[in-house]
Amino acid sequence: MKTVKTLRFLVLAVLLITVVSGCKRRNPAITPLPGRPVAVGMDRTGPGPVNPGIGVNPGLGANPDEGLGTRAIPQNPDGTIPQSDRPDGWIPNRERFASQTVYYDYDRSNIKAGEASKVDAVAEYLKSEPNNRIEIEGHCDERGTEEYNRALGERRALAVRELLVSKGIPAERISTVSFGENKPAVEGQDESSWAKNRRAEFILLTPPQQ
Amino acid sequence: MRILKNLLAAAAVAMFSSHALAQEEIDIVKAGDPSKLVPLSISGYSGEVSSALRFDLEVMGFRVVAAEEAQYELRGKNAGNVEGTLTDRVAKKAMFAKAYTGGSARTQAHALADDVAEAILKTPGIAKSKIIFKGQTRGGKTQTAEIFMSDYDGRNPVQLTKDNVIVAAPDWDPERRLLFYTSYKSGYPDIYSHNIASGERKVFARYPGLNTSAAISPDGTKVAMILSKGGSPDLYVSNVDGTGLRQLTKTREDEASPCWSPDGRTICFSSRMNERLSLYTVSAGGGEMRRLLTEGVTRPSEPDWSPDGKQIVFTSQMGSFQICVVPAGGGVATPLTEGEDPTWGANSRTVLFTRQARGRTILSLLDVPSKRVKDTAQSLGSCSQPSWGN
Repeated sequence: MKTVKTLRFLVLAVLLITVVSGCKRRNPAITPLPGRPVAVGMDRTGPGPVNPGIGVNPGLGANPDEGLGTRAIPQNPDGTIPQSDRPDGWIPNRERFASQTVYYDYDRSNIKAGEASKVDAVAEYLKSEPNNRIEIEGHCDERGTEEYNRALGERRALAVRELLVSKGIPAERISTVSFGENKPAVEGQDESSWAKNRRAEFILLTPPQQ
Repeated sequence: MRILKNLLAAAAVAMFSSHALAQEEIDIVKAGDPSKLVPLSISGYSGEVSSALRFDLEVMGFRVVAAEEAQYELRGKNAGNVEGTLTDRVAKKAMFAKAYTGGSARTQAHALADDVAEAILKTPGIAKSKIIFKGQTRGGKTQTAEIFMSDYDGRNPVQLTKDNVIVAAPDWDPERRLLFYTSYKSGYPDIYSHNIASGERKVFARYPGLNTSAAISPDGTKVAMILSKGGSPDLYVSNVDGTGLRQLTKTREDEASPCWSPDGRTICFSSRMNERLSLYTVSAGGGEMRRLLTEGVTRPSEPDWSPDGKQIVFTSQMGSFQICVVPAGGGVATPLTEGEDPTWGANSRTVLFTRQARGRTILSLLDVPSKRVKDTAQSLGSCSQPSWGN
């Protein structure tokens, strides 16, 4: 029909057909990672400062003024204490202070009165064994958001560290690690389970074999 | 080619015929009212192209209706390559006719959906984009996980790590193919950088104590992060190569989850300063922390700043977790839906977040103006902490 043919021309005139290669972009070049990442800073041979990794500020953890036990880490005006080097190569023992695990109230990092005696017991031990170190592992129940909990777990471990320092333990013998909500002691979604997860665990560290 | 011409002719005939379009039958959505989903009809497609088009367009702010009720009409086919013609039925105007080559049928459908969204809504499409998230691949009490990339709708997941350790808080720069995340591979929480194109990884922050929550600046030159090396989890910023580290907060309480303003000048984060969890901002160059008002909601955290600079989305904890938005300058916050971990799409309208469903954590897409939620296709175990990356 003539009308349709005219319309067809009209359409072709009006409508531009664009061939768009919209999908030249390949799938992302995802390379399966090797079994180990680029191994940097994994020096575990001694108690010295951790080697800096590539791209990391070379000042990290390598305060030349600090020797173990020779000089206290200066405290910040607000009572917080700069971190100590990680105990690479030291030998962990989780059982020794398993019954001294400190428990916390929901969303709090302060050491409750009833928990402080556990920290005292660890402090007494550390005074009697000056060659050993302690690591404090901070944990949360699942109820905060994940990154908030990672910071809260760290704050809980740091609270124990501050208390130990106040009892005379040098700060450089105490390190912390937070697992946030990722390593619960018990699974369960009730208050009794949550209460058991809001905790700081002590890990005794003895020096690596010389 | 002839079939295409006939198709176009037929479309034109339909368009120019004297068929009166009763305007009151079409719920016309005026520009500038994003809470109203734009009625659109889709015809001529089959299989996964049809379902992908429908999902993409529903996510981006449309509702799929019958032809008579549609304000816009998308017609085409996918025999071989995807082709489509978009028509404004009310204005009686052809908007475009396109055909796509290369990639898969699915990626062509995404490209078409993005073109439709950009033509009508005048905002960037999101259907071609990728997301990064963490996925739990094994059960067990200790929550080991790996980092994955997938299409924005959860399809085609690709595993990027294989460390079998706890990982968290991925953040990526899709343009520069650079990814940061926290990993406990050393036994401690360190931040790694990961070049997605080459697979090369480097230790980015391995300071004593906690290293986590890396956030890349929009221009890719700086990284904000949370470090506890000073004695408390505080906000720091450095160059993307790790040099030039500077401490931005010095509080006794913990800071967490920083994000950048799109102009790269301000960082928003959560802090428990004064024993009350709030959002704060600080200038990226250093200065005073300023509290960001989030009236009407409590315990805000995990902020993310929209690419257009206008809103901040965050998680509020009020009994359950709620995804909320607040104007970027602070003010009244609006809860939108139950969930956590929000991250903006490039259109400053869609938010990818996580919610609990069917016994695990799943990734979902929230349309902020209409509050509509659509779940991604999730073939893995619990997935969380998504990063859309803008």
